[in-house]
Amino acid sequence: MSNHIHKYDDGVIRCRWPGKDELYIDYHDTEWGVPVFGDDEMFERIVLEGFQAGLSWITILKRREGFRKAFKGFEIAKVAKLTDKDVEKLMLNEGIIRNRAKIISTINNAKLTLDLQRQGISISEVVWSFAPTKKTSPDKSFEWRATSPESDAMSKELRRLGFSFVGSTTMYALMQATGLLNDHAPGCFRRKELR
Amino acid sequence: MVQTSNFIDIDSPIGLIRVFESNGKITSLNIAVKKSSAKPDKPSKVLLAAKDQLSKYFAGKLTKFDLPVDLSNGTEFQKAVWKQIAKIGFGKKVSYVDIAKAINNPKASRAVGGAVGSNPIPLIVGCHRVLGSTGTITGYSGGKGIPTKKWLLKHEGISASDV
Repeated sequence: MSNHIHKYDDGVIRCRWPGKDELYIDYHDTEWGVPVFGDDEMFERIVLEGFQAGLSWITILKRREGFRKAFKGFEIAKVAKLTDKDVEKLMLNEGIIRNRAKIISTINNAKLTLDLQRQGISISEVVWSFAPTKKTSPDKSFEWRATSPESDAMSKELRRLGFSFVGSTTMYALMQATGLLNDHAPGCFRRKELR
Repeated sequence: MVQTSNFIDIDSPIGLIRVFESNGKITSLNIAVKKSSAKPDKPSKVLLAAKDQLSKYFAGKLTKFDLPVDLSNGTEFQKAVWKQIAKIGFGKKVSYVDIAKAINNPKASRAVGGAVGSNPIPLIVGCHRVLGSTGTITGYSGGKGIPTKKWLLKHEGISASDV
């Protein structure tokens, strides 16, 4: 069996990375790689991936509901209205990762997203415009990589628009998570389902 | 070797990892170091990228590093060996003999062992994937030595046997 997959206790072959955590397995099975459309939905995932930078994904996943509550269900218009006072409150909120730079970035990114919407530009469409022509990479010499030319380009464009915490590695993770890519490992049952 | 001034510390399941850089390239990586009281300069872009990619590696969500590395600080022989190790993919293993053959020096497997051990950037240049020709773990100079190597092999699903 390839080293990217693992036969779990339930007999199912999946990607190796979720390990034993039920929450993580569930995320792998139902969410990771499923195409995301809709601006609020895409915004949520950009924010979560941004918060992940330098941490493990499970720390974010465990606080998912906390994040949703703290950031108004990721309604862009509402997040854009958060003030300096709200930032101080969020810094005391144990339901999220209390990183000032990331919190401020979230609000700023929401403002930029809202501005784009007012110009008739959808953030989801911006992200999807960087989808690679081949969604599923070849089985042969499969690897989970850090970045790709597409994620480099997406990062550059979002930075140009003023967004922060949108480095190429973060954008590659976003592409994997939101279904621009099907990066389930060869042999994982989800690879076929999402092809 | 002149130690670079810029570094970043990264928590990991195999202990605190310290990555050094010079001129935008990673020059060395130490495993299981003690926390430093010295405050490093603001980490550079490449160090932040290293932190991000290493945390993804430990979470099992990254199997191929994409980082600029500087492997110029060695003998021609060492550099040839390190270059060869850098080609071994996640979850794959090769033997010292394989590497000796790949660098057209089939009788040099012992010298290869020495060069592997002096790899300045373990993990990113995956020398933990080099095993004895019968799949035995013969040694590891990073972190806590063999236990660290065992952890890494298990993490990558590589089977190995004890000496």
